[in-house]
Amino acid sequence: MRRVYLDNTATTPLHPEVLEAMLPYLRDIYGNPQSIHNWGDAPREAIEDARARLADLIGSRPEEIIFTGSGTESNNLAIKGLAQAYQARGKHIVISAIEHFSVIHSAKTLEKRGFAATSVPVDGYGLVKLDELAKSIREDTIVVSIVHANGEVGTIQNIEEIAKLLKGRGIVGHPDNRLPGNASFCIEFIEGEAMLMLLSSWGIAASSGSACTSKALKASHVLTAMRIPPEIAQSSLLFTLMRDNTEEDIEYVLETLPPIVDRLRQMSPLYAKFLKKQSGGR
Amino acid sequence: MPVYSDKVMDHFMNPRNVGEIEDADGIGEEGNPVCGDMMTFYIKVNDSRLSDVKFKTFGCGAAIAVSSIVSEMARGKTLEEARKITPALVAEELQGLPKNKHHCSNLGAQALNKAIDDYLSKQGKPVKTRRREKRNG
Repeated sequence: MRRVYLDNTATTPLHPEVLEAMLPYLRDIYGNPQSIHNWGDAPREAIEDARARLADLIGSRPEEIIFTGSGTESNNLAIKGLAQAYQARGKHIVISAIEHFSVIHSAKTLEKRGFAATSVPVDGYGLVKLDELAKSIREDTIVVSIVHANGEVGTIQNIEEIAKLLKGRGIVGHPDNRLPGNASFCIEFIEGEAMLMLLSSWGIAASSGSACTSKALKASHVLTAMRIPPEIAQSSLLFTLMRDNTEEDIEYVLETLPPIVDRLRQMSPLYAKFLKKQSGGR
Repeated sequence: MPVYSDKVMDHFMNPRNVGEIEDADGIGEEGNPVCGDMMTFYIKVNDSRLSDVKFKTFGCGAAIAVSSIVSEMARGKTLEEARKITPALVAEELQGLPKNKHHCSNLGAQALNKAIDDYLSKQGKPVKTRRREKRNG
């Protein structure tokens, strides 16, 4: 059976070039970069070289680059770090309603520490409402953290317009970025987890924002913020692609998914009701 | 994905008794799409026995497996016996359910009971509504 991995926001395979670049340090070269003895020299040089190259890539100074273990760690460090650094200037931060949990929870933590946080709503497409954003900015706003590209529905924010709103006001913008190739659907009358289980039995990995797929049994906060009705959010299905996915992979998904949808709809009382309504009955 | 027992997976992949009964003697609907799961049970009654039980379910893997096993457990039973199908028995029959999916087993037992209630009220018989199980979900 073909195996097609389309859950790359969850995790994605290592790029072969990254593996090759890292192999010497995983196998032969070891040592603490801080050490006085010369075991530390090679790792230290490698890290500083990487830092300089990254800085060059985004036009920053090397010392402005801080390596972390994950995106969640980065968001925590950026938001809590900025808030702490600028608290003399103000204690208000702004985020959007569709941020990653690492951003939302960082904001909540800051609220417990005496900061104020505003969550700006989005429209039905997941675009941050710019007028609401403008209204939310206060004299004491120090950080605005808005996800550039949403990992769940793929919406790309108008980051330039957002930057204009912040310009000259001493506010740090934090455009969190998480963009995989993203195809997000809601398939009415059937539930996400059931779709994922059947897709998995056909060798396809995807994800869903349905309540039943979450531990807390809550529908995705992103779909909820977009005011997608709960019964539609239940039918969320998300494919996120990687570079190794082929056209044949996608063809296979397109062949496999419709019979799965049919099978679950045949079981669904909601679909039966819909069909009856369509045919004019009750 | 939650870790489901082999029995849950079997009933999810090959659900028994899916469908509607056109001339059902009783119909019971439980849950709603807003909270995530909805089950409709259809029953045929002959000589106080459930001669046929069918269901339609909107919901997760556990909800579908629960509906399927409840339909199997209820078939051929007397109304009194069918009343004794509790959520705990359903979960046991499925070799267990993940903790956050226990509410699905409540829904299944409740939907079946509602179908029996519906049958009894149509017959003009007193409906002995069972005390509703507290929902976990």
